[in-house]
Amino acid sequence: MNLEICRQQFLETLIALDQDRGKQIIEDALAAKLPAEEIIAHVVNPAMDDVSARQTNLDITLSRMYIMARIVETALNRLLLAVPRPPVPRATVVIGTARGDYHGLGRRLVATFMRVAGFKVVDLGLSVENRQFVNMAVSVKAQAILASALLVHTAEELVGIRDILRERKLENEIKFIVGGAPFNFDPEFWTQVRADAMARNATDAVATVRQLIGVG
Amino acid sequence: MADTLTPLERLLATVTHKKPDRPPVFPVMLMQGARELGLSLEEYFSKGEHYAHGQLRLLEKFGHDCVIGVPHVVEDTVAFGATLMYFRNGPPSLGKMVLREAKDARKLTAADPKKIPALQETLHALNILAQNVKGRVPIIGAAVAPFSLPSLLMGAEAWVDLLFSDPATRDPILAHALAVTRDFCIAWANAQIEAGADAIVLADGMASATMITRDEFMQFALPVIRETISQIKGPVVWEGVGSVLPVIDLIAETGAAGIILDYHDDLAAAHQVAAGKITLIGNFNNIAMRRWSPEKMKDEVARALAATGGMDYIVGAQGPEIPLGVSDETIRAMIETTKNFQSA
Repeated sequence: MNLEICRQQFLETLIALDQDRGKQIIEDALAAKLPAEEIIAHVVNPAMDDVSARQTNLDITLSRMYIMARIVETALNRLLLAVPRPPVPRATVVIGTARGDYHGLGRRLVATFMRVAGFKVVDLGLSVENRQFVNMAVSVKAQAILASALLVHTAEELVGIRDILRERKLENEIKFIVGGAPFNFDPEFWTQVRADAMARNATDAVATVRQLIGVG
Repeated sequence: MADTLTPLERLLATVTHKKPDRPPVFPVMLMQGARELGLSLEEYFSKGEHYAHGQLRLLEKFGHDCVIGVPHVVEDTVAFGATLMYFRNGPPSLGKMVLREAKDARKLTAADPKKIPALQETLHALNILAQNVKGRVPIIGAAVAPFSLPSLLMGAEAWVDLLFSDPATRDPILAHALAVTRDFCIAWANAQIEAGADAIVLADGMASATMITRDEFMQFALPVIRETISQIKGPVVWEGVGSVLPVIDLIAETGAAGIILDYHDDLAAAHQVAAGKITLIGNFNNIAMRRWSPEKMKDEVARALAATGGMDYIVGAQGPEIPLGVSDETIRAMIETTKNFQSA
């Protein structure tokens, strides 16, 4: 086992959506004394790039993207336990779906992509109140709130996050980014909820957050 | 050009692949009736009488080709124990998930839809609509399709996790969940037809090509769609709530009368597959539509009618609901442009 073989095997596993095999490859790599941080850099990150390219090319269904991200997430969780010194996160973000919105596939994808990109992600899950987003962001000193919605009316209500950020004078410290189908269907919608930006997909979310908060 | 058919005759001609006087136009307005009656959405959705009168008021105001007898399909989850959370600007959502995790679906049961107060209100709305327009204007019912209903009850993440889990664990859970949701869906759809619905829309958001591949569709969704449609005692329209182009041929073989397209679906390509087999509905971007001027709507309708020649086609939005933010003038432009269309 070397990093190149591991990378190839892990990618094949992702494409086959074989979750058990994905776990096993990581265990085998660690058993072969490959350094965990090297596995993250040379196996998990390239695998994520491949998933990302497929998403950008729209040649993969959302369900398959989600399962691939789950495999990567499981690998990452295992590897982070094995690194000698936990990596210092680039920044912290808070993520969740809008109140009344239980459509969480996209949110999970974004959370995984952000973690692989080196961010600390606090995932509030489904149906999150606007105030909860802001309170958690303050509590964990997050630099960005990522709010996702699938429904038009739950998406519209996200404007409340902007209102709270303004009221509490947090607009300079915490950026507000939205994503989800309604924002993709109407590319001007994000301005209606007065977000700082929208992300079209998980890859775009990473790039958008990096740009907005100025981390590499 | 003056209409020569009633809306129901026009729909029947369309779904039997004959040439209607003009294509039917179905701007699906589930919420706009509340505004007409001066009610909150919660008041409007909660009483069948309110909802039916809202639909009749909209029909009178706009002169389109259908009424919708169901205020929102989320109400189906109430039969599984869900509570609803209402919004000022859109349909309700679940108060919380009914199932905590996928394995809880082993114990899934559904109540008789005719005994659920919220669903009784919908049946009452259908009764009122039938008393007023039956035989003249199509009355459309709706239900969540069996394959997608579990995702509303447990969340999409848990449902997708289950679909891609070990078959030995997955298959018994899946078989039970789909049997329960199938039987409920059939019973609920047939209750709507008895109450006055002329056709049923099955909303199947987890089964579109946006969500699953064609092979996965054939493995997981198609069998239960076919069983369900075969036992619903009226025409069925299938709505993928996502791209459906890759599965139109498969849906056409289930006995479905119509299919609702996503705005990403190429209408001309879809029409090539569907012509003579299944009626297409759509495919206007109903989110962007909130910003459309009447002129933009006219262009969109003209585009759709050019792509289909107005045959085997119903003018409507994807989704297929028209959001509250769309102006009356823009909705009228959809209807009037269709009415002025003369097929070749």
